[in-house]
Amino acid sequence: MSANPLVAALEKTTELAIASGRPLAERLRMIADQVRELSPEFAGAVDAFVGRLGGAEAGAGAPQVGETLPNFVLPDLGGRLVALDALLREGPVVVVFLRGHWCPYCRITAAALGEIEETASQLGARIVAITPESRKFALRLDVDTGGAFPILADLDNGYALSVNLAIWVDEGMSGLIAGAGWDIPTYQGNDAWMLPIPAVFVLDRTGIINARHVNPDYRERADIEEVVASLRNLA
Amino acid sequence: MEMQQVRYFLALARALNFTRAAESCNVTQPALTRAIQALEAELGGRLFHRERNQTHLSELGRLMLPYIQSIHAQADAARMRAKSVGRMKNVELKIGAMCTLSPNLLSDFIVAFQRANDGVDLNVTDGAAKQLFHQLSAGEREIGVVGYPGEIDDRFHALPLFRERFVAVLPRDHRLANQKEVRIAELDDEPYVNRINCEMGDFAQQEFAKQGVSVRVVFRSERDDWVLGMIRSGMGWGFFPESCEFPRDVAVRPLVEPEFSRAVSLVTVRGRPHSPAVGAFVKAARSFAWSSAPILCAA
Repeated sequence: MSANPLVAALEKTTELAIASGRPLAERLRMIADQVRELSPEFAGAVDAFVGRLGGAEAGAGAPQVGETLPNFVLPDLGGRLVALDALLREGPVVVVFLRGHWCPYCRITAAALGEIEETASQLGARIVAITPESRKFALRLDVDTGGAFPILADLDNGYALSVNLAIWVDEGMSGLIAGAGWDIPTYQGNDAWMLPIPAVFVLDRTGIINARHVNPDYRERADIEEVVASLRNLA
Repeated sequence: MEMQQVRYFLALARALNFTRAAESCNVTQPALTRAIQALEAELGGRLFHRERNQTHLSELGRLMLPYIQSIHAQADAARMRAKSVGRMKNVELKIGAMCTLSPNLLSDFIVAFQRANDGVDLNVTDGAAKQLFHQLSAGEREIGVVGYPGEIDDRFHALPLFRERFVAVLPRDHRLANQKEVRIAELDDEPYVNRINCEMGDFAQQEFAKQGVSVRVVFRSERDDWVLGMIRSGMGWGFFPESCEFPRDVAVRPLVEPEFSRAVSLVTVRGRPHSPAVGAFVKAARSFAWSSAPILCAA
């Protein structure tokens, strides 16, 4: 449990949201509402930060529907290298970019994806998540998903940049995040304050993007039902 | 940030001239300018100041330069790795470990790496620090695993992995053996059994001297089994990294006031092109859940 009252409250709400079984958008709103209620300053800074990213069309250059996602080879939590092209040989793949274990929205999204893993695998598809965190910290997300899918480490956001999804957290925003007790430099093993824009790509077995969600406003995530619907189409 | 914006930013930071930067990227100057402006909008400030014929980095530009250089290099490396993974078959990876490092510290990591990269054949030799740095320079070893107390030469790149503490090893019937821990001051003039290859020992002795503690060397050996044998038979105390394998019939006590510890790092030669196996090993080491506290390393 965190010493910071905002973070402590968010941790509790995250657990509640994960357990609630409600639609993902509602669970995410529980967090956004609580941030706004407990720290209008933080919520206002987030509005300004994601507003600027949206205005600058951050993430717009990420691969589009109909294009392919470039191959990656990244280690999972056990240190085994996982290659996208090898996964695609077995069927469609859902590639998910998450910011890290410290982000309540990411934890809730990871848990919601964990809930559809069985359906996905019945449809012959695999889910993989990518975070810029070292394994020690990414393990938290693995707990939230019940180990349902591999979590891969993209240290230093190299793969995220190669698909135009890396953003820099400016000094005002990073000061607020660090002030809340979230030690991103330690989680990532560098002090660059880069994060991936949360994203979901549903790839057919040839690697072509069938559905895509990219939004620099990290409080909004892909519609999980739509992810399942695209997988049904691909099955 | 987009890969292309990042490339243009790095070219302009090098050339400090829009025309030359655009030429070096094979684009028109307006295209380069638009990309830089888009990046500035995303980062929330000017990256360059344009004054008449001069262009220079703004404060934000200077702040971002090392981060952008690093993430750009990582993106290139990610792409290389995605391409080269199929080619890592029967590759030999030559690792040199400092002889004072216990295999216990690394075995879990090395086994995990081996399982994940079964095309890589690991060849590990050991030696004293000086010899190891020489072998790295000469290309005889590709990666060094080093726990060195002093500054590491600029020619090398060191990636700290974790810290390891040092302990006092005492004969069972030593007057300090029934204490929970041993203060440095209590070791004044105690007979000391010296491990010749321990670089940390020399470093620690200087600290001892500062406290007015004299170290009375009564035996020296290159071999830890000899040194431990002498301790067991009552000759004196010894200074060891905590991860060593100790016989049961000696007393192992933490050293305090001050504590001594060393960072254990992976060392490679700066600027040398490395094989994909070296890259995979370094990457795996960075993301491995080391059991002792990880050390924050700057990007």
